[in-house]
Amino acid sequence: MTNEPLIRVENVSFSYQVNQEQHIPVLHGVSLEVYPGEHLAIIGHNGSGKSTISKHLNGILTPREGDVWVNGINTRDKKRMHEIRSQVGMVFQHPDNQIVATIVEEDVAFGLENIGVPPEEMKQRVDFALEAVGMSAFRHRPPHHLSGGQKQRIAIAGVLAMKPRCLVMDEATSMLDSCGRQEILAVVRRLHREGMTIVNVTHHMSEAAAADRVIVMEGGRIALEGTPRDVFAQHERLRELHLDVPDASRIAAWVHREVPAFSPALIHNEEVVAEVNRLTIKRAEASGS
Amino acid sequence: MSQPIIEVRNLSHVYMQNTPLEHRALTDVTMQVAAGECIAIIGHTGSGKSTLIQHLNGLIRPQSGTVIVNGLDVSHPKLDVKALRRQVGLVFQNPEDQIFEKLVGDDVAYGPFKMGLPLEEVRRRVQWAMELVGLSFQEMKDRPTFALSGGQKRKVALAGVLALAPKVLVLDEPTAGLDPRSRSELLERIRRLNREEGLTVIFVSHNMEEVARLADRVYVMADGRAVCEGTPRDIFGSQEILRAHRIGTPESVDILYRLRDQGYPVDVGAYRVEEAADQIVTLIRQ
Repeated sequence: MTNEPLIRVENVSFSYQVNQEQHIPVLHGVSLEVYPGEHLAIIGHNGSGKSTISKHLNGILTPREGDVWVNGINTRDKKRMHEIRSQVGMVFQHPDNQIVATIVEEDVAFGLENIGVPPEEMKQRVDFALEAVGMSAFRHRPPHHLSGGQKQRIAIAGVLAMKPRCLVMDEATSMLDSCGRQEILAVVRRLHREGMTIVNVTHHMSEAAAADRVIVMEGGRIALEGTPRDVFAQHERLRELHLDVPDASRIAAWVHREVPAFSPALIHNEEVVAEVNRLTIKRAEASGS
Repeated sequence: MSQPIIEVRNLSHVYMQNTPLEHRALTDVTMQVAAGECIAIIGHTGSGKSTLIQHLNGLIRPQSGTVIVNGLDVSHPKLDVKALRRQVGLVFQNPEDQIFEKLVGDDVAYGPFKMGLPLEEVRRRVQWAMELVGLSFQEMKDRPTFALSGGQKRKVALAGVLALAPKVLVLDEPTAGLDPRSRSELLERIRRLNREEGLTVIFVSHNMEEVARLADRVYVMADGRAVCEGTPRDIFGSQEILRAHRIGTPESVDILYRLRDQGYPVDVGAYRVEEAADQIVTLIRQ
């Protein structure tokens, strides 16, 4: 990726203010780039600063020190907040805090009404967004009677309707059931294939394994960065950081201890199956059958 | 099964009954939980799990059917709700919402204080509950609640419920949103409460690794019905059940099913990571 970053985070420090004397520092000189079309995962334990950094990506928070640039616009430039938010949309952990309307389709259309999208286009975008999250059948229902997972899909639809270039998900799947999660991840994969930049802040190691690049936060700093395979090879380091590896990696490591020929550097379920195939076929060939 | 501590019979619930928005959340649900059991309730979003557990401490009263908790009839019009809630502690899905005091110790003390317990007893219970969830009483009691991390807030909320000394602990998605270490710690705490303190535990979860690790028995909900019940091995070992009710599998089980689909003789009921790995070792060595 030689192109210009879509988002540039430069030496950002941030602290939450408790009262006039007391600050709780959360970020210490963090620098990172998000490139157009990439799928970046940010992981780290509760309190590591990953949520705080993600809230800097579209100006919900602005740095105490340092700068964040979205497509060349500094997020301190409050007058251009509209442009920033139209490029980088964000979905949070708790859907209840993101739902504003009394009917599902009105909730999805809420952001569009605010920016004055014509009715015909608005309908198309709402249709697309509801379809994308598999909630079309619920468009006339009141959101407060939906389950947590369904509400989250509505919140994601609301962001998708804005057609941002980058979707930031701050633990957006952590309240969903595994099927709901799989659906959202399928939606995200599709959006990513179609060119959307994805930043996924997650506690699910298997989600991070699906990204192009993983950043690991610890104590408000970047502790590790690399491809999922490089990052998840570091079992011990991750454990120190209160994290884990995908189950596929744990299984691979376990099997590798018993059968050294079995690769320990696996991160996806299908890779484990392929490795079993490789070894059993090799053995079948060796025995001449 | 020994004498059930919870008995749900033919429970049905309809939201906004007799309006155009009428929505049937539970249909004819029957379940029994023995004292000391650890029960998981699973099912996809909207299957009625949360509606069901809100009956267990009387937040919702039965419209039809019965719910009996340790001899208390939840549908009885003169139900002593306070007595019920001393028996059944409910930890909601976003327990951050249940924290409203400025200091950790005060928040945990709120319930026992409202029960009218003497101050010394309140203090003793707060200390006991905080230590149980892994919060040091000395260090944490005077911390401001808003400055806690997600995992710590979850522990504070859990301690607040435990301080009421319930016999039954009901948890809605206890580890959602926690990092792997905090999740692992909290699961271990819940397991100990169940195994060592003898608490009956009922938890709703969509995390199948968690269900595999904790539950003695699993109830599967779908479209408001309790469609099947069994040990984790029964449930995860049956592709028919998993497919029919759109239940996710632990990742270890997903790998086993993929292997079985390719013709390998594996036991798909081996749902723990170590068991699954052992299955693979056996396959390769055969």
